[in-house]
Amino acid sequence: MGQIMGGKNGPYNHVDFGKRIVTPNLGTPEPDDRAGNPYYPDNKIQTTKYTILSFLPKNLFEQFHRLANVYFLFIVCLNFVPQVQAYGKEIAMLPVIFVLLVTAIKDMYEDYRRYRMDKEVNNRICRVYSGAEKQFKGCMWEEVRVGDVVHVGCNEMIPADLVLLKSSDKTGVCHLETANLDGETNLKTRETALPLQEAPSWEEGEHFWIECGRPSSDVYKFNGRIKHRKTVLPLSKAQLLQRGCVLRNTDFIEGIVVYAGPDTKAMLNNSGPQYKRSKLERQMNIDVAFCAVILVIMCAAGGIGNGLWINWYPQDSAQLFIPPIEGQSEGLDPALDGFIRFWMYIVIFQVIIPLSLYVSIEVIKMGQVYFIHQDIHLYDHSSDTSLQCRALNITEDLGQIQYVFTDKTGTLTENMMVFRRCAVGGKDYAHNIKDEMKGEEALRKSIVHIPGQTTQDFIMDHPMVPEPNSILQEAVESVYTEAPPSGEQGNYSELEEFFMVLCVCNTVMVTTGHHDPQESIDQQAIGATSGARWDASGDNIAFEPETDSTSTGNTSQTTPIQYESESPDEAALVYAAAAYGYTLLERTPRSVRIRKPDQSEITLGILNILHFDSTRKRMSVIVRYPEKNEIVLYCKGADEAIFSQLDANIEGQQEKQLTVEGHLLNYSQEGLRTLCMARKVMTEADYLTWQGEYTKAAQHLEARDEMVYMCACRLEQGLTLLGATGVEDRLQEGVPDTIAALRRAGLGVWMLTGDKQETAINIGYSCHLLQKGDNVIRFNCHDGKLIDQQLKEICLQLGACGCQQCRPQTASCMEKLHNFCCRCGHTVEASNTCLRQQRNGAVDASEVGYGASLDITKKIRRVVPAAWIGPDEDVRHMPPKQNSVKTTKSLQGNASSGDPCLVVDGRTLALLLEEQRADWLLAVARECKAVICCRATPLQKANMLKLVRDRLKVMTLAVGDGANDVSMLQAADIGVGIMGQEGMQAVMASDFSTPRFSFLRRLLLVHGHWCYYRLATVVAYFFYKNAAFVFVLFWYQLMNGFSGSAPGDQYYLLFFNILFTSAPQIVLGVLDQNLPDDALSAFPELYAVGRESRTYRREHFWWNICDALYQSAVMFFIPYGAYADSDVGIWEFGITVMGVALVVTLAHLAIQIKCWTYPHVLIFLASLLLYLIFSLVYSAACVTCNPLGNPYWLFQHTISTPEHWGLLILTTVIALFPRFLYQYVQSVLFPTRVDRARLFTTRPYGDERSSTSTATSFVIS
Amino acid sequence: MSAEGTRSGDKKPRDTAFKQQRLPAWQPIMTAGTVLPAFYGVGLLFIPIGIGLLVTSNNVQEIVVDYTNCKQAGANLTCAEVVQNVSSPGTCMCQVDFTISSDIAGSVYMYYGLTNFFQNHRRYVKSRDDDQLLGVKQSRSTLNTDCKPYDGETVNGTFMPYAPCGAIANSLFSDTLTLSYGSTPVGLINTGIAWWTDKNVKFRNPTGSSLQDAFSDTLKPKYWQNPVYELDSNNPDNNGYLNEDLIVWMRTAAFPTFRKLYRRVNHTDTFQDGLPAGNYTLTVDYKYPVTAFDGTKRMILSTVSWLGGKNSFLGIAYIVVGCICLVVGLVFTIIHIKYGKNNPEDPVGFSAAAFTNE
Repeated sequence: MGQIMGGKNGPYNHVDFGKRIVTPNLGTPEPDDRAGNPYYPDNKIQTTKYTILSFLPKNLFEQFHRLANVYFLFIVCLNFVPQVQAYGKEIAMLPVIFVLLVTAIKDMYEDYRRYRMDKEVNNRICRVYSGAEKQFKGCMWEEVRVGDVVHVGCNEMIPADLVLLKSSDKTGVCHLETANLDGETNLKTRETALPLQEAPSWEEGEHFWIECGRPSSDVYKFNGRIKHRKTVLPLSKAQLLQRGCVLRNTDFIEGIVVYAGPDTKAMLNNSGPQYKRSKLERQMNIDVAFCAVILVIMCAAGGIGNGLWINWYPQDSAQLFIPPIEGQSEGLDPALDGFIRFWMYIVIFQVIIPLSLYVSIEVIKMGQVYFIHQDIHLYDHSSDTSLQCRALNITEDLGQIQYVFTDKTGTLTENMMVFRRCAVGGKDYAHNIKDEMKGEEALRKSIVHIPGQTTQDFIMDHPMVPEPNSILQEAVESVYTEAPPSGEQGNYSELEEFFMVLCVCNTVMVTTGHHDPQESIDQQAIGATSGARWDASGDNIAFEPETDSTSTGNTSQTTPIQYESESPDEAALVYAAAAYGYTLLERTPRSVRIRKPDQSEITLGILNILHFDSTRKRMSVIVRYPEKNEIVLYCKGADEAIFSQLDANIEGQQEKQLTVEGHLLNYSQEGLRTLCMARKVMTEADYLTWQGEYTKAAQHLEARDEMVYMCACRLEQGLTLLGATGVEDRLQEGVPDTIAALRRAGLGVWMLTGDKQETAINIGYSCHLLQKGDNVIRFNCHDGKLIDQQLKEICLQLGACGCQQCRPQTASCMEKLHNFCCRCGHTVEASNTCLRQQRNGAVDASEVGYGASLDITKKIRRVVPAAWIGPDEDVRHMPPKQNSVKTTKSLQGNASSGDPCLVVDGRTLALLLEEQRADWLLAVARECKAVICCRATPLQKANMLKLVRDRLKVMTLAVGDGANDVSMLQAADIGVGIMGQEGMQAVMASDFSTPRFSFLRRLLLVHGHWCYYRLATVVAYFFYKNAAFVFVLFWYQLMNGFSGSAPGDQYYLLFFNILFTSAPQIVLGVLDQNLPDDALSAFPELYAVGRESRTYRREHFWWNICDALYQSAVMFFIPYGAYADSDVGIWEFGITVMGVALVVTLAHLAIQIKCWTYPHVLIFLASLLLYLIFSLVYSAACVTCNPLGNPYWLFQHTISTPEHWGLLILTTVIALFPRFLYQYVQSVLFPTRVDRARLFTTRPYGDERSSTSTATSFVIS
Repeated sequence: MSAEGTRSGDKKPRDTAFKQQRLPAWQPIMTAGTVLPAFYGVGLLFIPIGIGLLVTSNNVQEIVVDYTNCKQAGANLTCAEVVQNVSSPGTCMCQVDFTISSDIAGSVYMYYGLTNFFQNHRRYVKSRDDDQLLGVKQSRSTLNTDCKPYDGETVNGTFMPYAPCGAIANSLFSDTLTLSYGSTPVGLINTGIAWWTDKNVKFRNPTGSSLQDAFSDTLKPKYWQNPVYELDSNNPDNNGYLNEDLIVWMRTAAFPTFRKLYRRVNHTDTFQDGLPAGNYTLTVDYKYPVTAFDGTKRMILSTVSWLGGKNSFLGIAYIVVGCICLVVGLVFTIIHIKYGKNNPEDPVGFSAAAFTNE
């Protein structure tokens, strides 16, 4: 880590293969012969997976990575073995080819779209310096190479990752909008590394080189250095212009390409959502394995049966009638024949492993995603975005979530910061907001501000500007009117310095009027722009200071100032400072210009900015006061991060800290975000020493970040506390309702935040995560030894595991403790089930009387018509005596404590997450109604989530909006990114992105419920259908000596699944609704169906297999009975059986459909019609085209017999009778909540959907 | 690289009933009011249908004569024993006397029935060549390989296919059955017993100056005694592949116990009102061995209803299902009346309303 600068040895002194040296492509005449940088890819991007030539092999190769496809390929190959051959060689390939083709077409279409986009991007024009012609020449993006010098004009897109060399701006700065990269719409500043006058001149072919690290996907990281003439200077991300960004506010820039095409950060980040597999699919795959077992059993039974039959069948006559085994001249060897039959049966029974299942599920999910995208309720008008499904294959997981982990800032809250309070000079000042506007809509609107009012200064009109506190205002004014108070420490005014910190210590950009160049004619364009477009002539900042209303002078020329910031907190602070007259006028990388309340302007030189990072939790700016020639470090940060760095020697510091801490406590209790401000004066010598170290650190290629961190920490010591601020972060609209709904839905809602404990708790209260009367347990313990003891105490307080069996009523404390340790340590799974029962107290009758379940029951009763809850589950239906006893007992149990809620802070969390305590933590956390983790780092958030997900084996959903939530989003089963103020990082990592938190309610409760219900029903049906079909074939083997004969033509056998019966289930999977959306939304309790996987479980699979067994027996033996000892031929019988199978399976599906609409009807009719037409045409088409079951006129002949129709009706009724009866008995005598809700929501209104008004009237009752 | 941000409202989904999943819908709900009528309906519908079917089936008259073990005329051996020796098939004539106790009215059909004969065995089923039966002259290479080992023989170095090839044809039922009422022979017609499409489309004789010439380069199947062009020498339209006995046989049966239509009783002259009651004699030219695989042979005389032959299964099944539906409906009505209506714990009362409705 030591030696970094390679001044003497040049760039080659420490060889690293990942490093790249870039030299400019200048002076060489031939564009194809560009010198210097031969190894790096050019700027052509290719996001397509295939080329025309490689499509077929590559796509097939990928498709055969799927186990199912390999299996079916194996079957096809097996069918090519002559002895085993069950179907025509070519015909047997049809289904597989069909499936492959559908997938291939889908892939091809997607790839073609990518190709089109690539082509468009590659053919964009930019200007590249041509050494031959000594000028910039138009050039397509794809022709740009590493080392090219590129000229980019205002509002143009950067074609590749450039290092900025020249800017039209005299300070060497340019402004960049990075929305395409990270979604942040505020402008970023980039500056040249070399002083302007030293910029290399292309015309003279001046040589220089750049050394930088290997391409990386980290958008925020770029280290390197540039050697020009004699100097070597560090490069950082401040010099890097990333591909895809747009140049703003700057006339032009010139830069050299360092990363091109696939190496650019934009492309490296363009990985797309990662593949997650849904719970249902995981479950399904196991069931597919069971199907394989069933298949093997059936095949073995068939093979053995065949051997036995041959054994029994007299050999001599067998020769007469039954041809011997293929390839053998005579004789039937039972063992050999049985063995061959086994393989043949695998071919014949292959469909029990549902080939079409995977394709159908993909199609269904595409349909589901389409409808989620189309949902108008998930469209946010103000941002013109709607909820986006980025992961297309986990829609049904939305209906199975058990725990929701949410970030606070920007997720639950607006991330729209409003300055509320400040503590300075030992006093606390409160602020009101001008034009207090309620709701997000108002705030959003006001951002696009109309700078038309001539009498009003723009800044003062901004919604984020607080109304100055009059007392503070006076105090501020007195600083300038009165003589410097002698009582102050040092020669500075604490007030002024406080505001200077607010003003200076940030990275806020000053922007001027938002005029769209295209619309510049209409200077007053009302609401024409969002913060995304800037005037090119941005550097004439005219600003009229308007701190008091008396000076209503020459404001007609005013170009209003607005502040743009990566962090909304900073902007709020700058606006607040402006309210008191400390106005930030201009910010360049080297200086800031500030206007003070006395109208004097001061320009401070900025020596260094030590950016905020999550470990230090503070940021600092080192400024030089020109007149005093004083170097001051301004620092702001989290309270603990500042307090720990204060200079303890300064007199009064301790007391001041105590006062401020008191204020901070108040602030955070109000739910405000707090920051502390501090300063430190440095001597020139100290600074220079430090700066030397810092420069070294900053130039380090590998360990730069660590070294910079250490440097910064070294400097940020011995601070003097100035004051503190409290900034309000408003709750998003609909958050409390949404959280309440999610809780009613039985979801555990956990809040993981980086904020202070008090702030977090207060936000928790305001968003109804916590409620008045809750027993909030704050768990702050930073001692590894004490924590075990405390954990135990909390366990005791909560009554350990939480269900009746786990809670010994009379046990002593020690016993309890022991029990707890045993249970929670080793049987988390068991107690988990207990907990589940407890959560669903309203459903499981046995748990009635237990406190928590009673409580939940009560809660549900508040909002649900009691009839939804089964009679025996209802406490009131109990015999009164028993009832009262139980109630009082449970009330006593809970009266003392209220609902427990756990609040853990970050350091405690770090200890708790350790392996040996994890189970305990979970045991406690599960017991709690709500859990809040504050001061959590991004990694802790992810670890917490993983812990819950893996140990409790639950489905988790994480919601977040910022880069700090990315790891959590990726760890969760479903990551939901909020498209908010903090850029697109979270959205990029998410599976679903939503403009508002409150959409979560509809997404989960309505779409999640539907998707789960639909897919679960379809999957269960799929297994049933294929099994039933195969079992029919199996029954026939009993009749034909286990020879592998199939009743029916091979086309029917192969097309049954993929043609005749595939569409209706897709319609069900996409369109069916077991309940209308308003009912699902109004009664979140209904979500339990999916949360507990009630629609599709392992037992459902087996029940469906049993049903298939029964139905197949009916489908086969009823026709058999009717045709026994008649002159019916094998193919006529086959047509009847196939027809019966088709009608029964379709009718089976039909009785499962809960909501018939015209697409349902159409598709069902179309399926039947397809079958009829296919059969008629096929039977009439050719006389000898199919050697095995010559179909000529078969179908016509068969359907002209009355037996066929009589059997069709009879068999359908008999086959579906038990299931129908079961459904009826279940829904009338043992109705589930959904059944009751259906009864309620649909009955009185017939075909019309129920109205929400009546639904809510029940809520009230 | 996405496009520039669009103006507000562009991305708003269209508010149509389909896209918002608000199509007018019928939501069937299982309640006593909807399901119990369905049970009764099915019951009341099925029982009459079943009775109708049963009556129809019972009106079909059927005489079954098992002649598997009939004795050779004038010898002490059963024909089965005589015929069993496949290698040297002897001729065996036998007679079986039977009585028809009541007159059989209407058209009477004669069937032969076999048991334990696995015509549906996979290898048996596919051992045929449909092209050959369509009159296409097959060489060794074009002949369906599934016909093996009954595909043909090499005679004098040239391959001669069997006509027709395959196991099905090879095992053609070869008994000849004749019937006499007392001493009056009952006229039997051997045409009109196959499907029209089979006779007129699927089966064609190969072309040739004469039928024999058409089959000149073929051999008779291994176990046949006469070549295919001598199946019915009396009727050229019923000879060769067009022979209806062959056509009927070639339509393989679905189950090991089956019957096939053999003859139609000629009702035009003597037996215009069907077969009268009395003593009949079945004379069998017994050639077909079945005892080796425990098979039996039967002669069946049967009339035909619109439903086909005599089979009461369908009718009984309909009646049983109808009864079960009625019983289940009744049981649930009782349950419903007893427990459904007075549900005191239903504070809202809509479940009670659901029970009483309709």
